[in-house]
Amino acid sequence: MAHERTFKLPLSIVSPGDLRRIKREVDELCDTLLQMELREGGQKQPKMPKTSRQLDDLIEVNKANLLVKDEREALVKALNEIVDKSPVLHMSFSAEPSTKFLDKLIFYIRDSISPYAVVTVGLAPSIGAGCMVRTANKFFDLSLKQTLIGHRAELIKELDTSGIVKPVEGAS
Amino acid sequence: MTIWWLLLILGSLGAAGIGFIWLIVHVSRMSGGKSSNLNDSIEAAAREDVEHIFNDDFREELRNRGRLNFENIINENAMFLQQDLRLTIAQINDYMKGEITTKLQAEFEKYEQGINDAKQLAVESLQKTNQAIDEERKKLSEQIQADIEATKRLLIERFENNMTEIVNHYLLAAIGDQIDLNDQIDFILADLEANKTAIIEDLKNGA
Repeated sequence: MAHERTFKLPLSIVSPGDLRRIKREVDELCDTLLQMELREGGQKQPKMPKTSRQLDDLIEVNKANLLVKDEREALVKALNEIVDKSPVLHMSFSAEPSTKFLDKLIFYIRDSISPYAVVTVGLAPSIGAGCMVRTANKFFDLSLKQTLIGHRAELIKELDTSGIVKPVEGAS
Repeated sequence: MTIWWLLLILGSLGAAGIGFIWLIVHVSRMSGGKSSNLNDSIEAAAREDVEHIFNDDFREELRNRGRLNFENIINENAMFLQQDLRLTIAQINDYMKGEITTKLQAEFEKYEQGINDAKQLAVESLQKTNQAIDEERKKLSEQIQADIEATKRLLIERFENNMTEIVNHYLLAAIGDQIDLNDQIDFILADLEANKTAIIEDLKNGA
């Protein structure tokens, strides 16, 4: 992407839905500013739309001045490209994640995997702990159950030594 | 026995009478040859004597004596008959007692033998039944033991095969509500780090 290292996504923007909403806000803001430029002095100016905290964060991390047309157009262009091409990760947790948790998670993902990745958060109470990650073509089970399966031999050995379960000949 | 006595007495009386008549006839024959007159006189005298001897009184006396003897004989024979009858009855009673006792004893012995045979058969049957029951119980016990072992083996195999599910289930039931996502962040980030290459690869090659 041409805007890599020049355009940043704030941690408050998490999901593709957030991106689309920010894009709509930016478009609305651009329209308002365009109307203000077209109207002559003395005429009633349109009311400036309210911006969300996520848009504020976006503007802040990118140090963009939306009153400047070029910067505004660059932001719109980058947003369009990110909305269309940003990698999406579907992550499921056992409970609704907190903002603090999501901040840490998004920070890691954008730092280690892709700076423009967004995450769709889902709920899977049955996994107990950990998470399940689904990308476009793959599924990664990072739950506690899968971890226990990975350590099955140690678990059986521990149960055998503890005497809870006696070993059975021929049992796999 | 009394009849024999009676016949013997009557026979004796008959023999005495016949002997007496034969004596008279023999004497008359011996005297008849000497002279017919003498014979006639003797015969007349004899006839007279006979008539004198065997007159009605003498006959009546003989009858009375015979009647008395006859009554005595009858009484004696009746007594003997009564004694014989009592003796016979006693013997018959003894015989009947003995026979009945023997028969009853034989029957009782047969009955006892039959009971003993039946008892023996019942005991043998019970022993066979007990033996069969013991064998069946032993087989059943072995079968149950084998089933228990198989079931135990199956349960343990299932437990081991589904152990992760079970442990996960019990972990969730025990501390599921105490596991906070914020406490899992390091664990989740470590897993993501472990799979980072695969995730990046898939994101690059994604649709």
